[in-house]
Amino acid sequence: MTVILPFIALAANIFTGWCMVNWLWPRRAQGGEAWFIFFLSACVGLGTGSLGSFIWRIALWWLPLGFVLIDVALLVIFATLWRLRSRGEQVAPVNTNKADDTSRRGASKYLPVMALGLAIVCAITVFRISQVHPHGQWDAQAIWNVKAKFLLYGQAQWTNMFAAPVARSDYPLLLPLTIARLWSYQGYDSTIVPQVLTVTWLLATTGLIVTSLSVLAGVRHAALATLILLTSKLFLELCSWQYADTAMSMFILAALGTVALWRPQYGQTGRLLILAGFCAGCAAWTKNEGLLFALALTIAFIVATTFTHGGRTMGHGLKYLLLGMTPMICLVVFFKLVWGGPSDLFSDQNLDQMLTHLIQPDRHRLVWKSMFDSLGRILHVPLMLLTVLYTLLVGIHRTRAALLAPAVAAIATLVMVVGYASIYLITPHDLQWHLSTSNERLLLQLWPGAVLMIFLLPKSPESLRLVV
Amino acid sequence: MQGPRAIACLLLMSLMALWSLLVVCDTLLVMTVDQDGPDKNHLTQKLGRRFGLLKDELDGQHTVGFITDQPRFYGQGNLDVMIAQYMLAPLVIDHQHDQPTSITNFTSDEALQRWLASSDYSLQKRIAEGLAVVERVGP
Repeated sequence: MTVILPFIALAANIFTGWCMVNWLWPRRAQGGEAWFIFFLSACVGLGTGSLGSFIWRIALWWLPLGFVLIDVALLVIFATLWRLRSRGEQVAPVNTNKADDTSRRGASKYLPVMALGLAIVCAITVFRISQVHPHGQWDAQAIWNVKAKFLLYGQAQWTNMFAAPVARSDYPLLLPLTIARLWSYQGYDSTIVPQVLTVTWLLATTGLIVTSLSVLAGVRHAALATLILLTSKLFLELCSWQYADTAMSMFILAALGTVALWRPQYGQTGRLLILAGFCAGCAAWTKNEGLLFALALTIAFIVATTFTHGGRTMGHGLKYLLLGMTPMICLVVFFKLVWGGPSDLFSDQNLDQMLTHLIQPDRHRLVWKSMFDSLGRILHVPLMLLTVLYTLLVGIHRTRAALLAPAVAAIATLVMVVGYASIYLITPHDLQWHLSTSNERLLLQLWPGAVLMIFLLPKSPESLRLVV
Repeated sequence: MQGPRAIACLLLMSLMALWSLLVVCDTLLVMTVDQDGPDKNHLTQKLGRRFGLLKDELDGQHTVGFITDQPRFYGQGNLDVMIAQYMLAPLVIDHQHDQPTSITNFTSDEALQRWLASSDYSLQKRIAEGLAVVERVGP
């Protein structure tokens, strides 16, 4: 019985997320949007669950089954908020960039199902491979799962993890807290929980791509984008190695996808942006790079919305976006101030050393060469060239409103890449070693968001009036 | 938009879909055959099993030292400490200071014996080749 308890808890978490998302969703969702809500619920639910776990560990560790109490409390609170919310709000349905609804007819309607089917095949393969290394690869053991063990068994002394030789003790705790909480339901640390979680990241990421694009760009683009997402071997490998980069990429995609569904020209409130901000906050609570993403998303939102809808709409939306980020960012700041401390990237050197590194041309050359090499290993170059050709043939959206989502994704991705490059330039570690051990993984975090952006740009094939 | 351009788009999209599908299938096959990942020698699994043998011996301890004859940083030694910490958490492994109780991870029993002969530690229990629990007897 205890074997299935973690998975019941995981399902309950997703349901908590479902209640929270529905509470904030500005309209009654149908079709692809309802499925998007389901996959977004996995992200939001796991983020909320992690927040609850942190409260359990720092304040209610002494209470028997305190983690159950907090999970139930969160579920009841968000279910009540959802039921209490007035459903009378009439807002136009999400604008799709599709010219008509031909994609709902014929064989095309099965395309997203087929894409999700392929994702499930990938998930099964990843799960089977992860059983060859049931404890995960290096990062999983040296960072994430070991922290989860301290959180599970440490009781009030869980902070011993900061005295132990645990790599990256300054990294935030979303993943370890999630694993530890699910282990708590089981009563011991099993290898199955991290394995199932990694499959959850994979399925949620592909689900978010399929559903967001089927709403925004048509089912054909949704199916194609999913296929192209899964062509990245590194993406599937990192899932099987239990690395946190796949969770990061899921939260980044969830934030960008939710911003893409926001349509200010229809007078929608910023409720969707609260969810987008919350997902960006979850990314910040997963890895340090997530803090950079929260900043990148904010910059991208300010620039793109000002350009497409004007400063007033931007100001209105920005309030909601920052409101959504606030809980998790506060959590990260609290954690950093009390336990995490500064990253070794900044604490192991002074400003002069950073500036000296920054002006060395050799370092610039090495960093950007490594970036391009890594990009070539993440994406399938011939397929990308075909995608560019396809986009040129079909044409891109020209209305400012339709350009908001791809512009936000593009600017956020650009800021992230520049941010990563800057970190490498100033790193106090051996640059070659630092690049070879992390560059590919960092760029892969941006891969699903980039795929979303690529397929939001071109006009939908439905505009060609060809029905398959 | 209709005509040759539309047909070209449709053909291109079909080509991309088929190509992607082939790449995904190929990737899954390659991953299934080559399942090792960065740890080609299954080193972490071997070390995990090795340090897992210490669990019962160290039950009730809060902190132990870690003594090894391997280099410390970015080499085997650092990995050893990390994996030992993972397997034995929430026990804290202190590899930087002397502790009354320590675990040893030597390449061989001979190397362990040589070290014991010249140190202030006594053997508490041998667990496996080069792996033991030792106690400090000196000041």
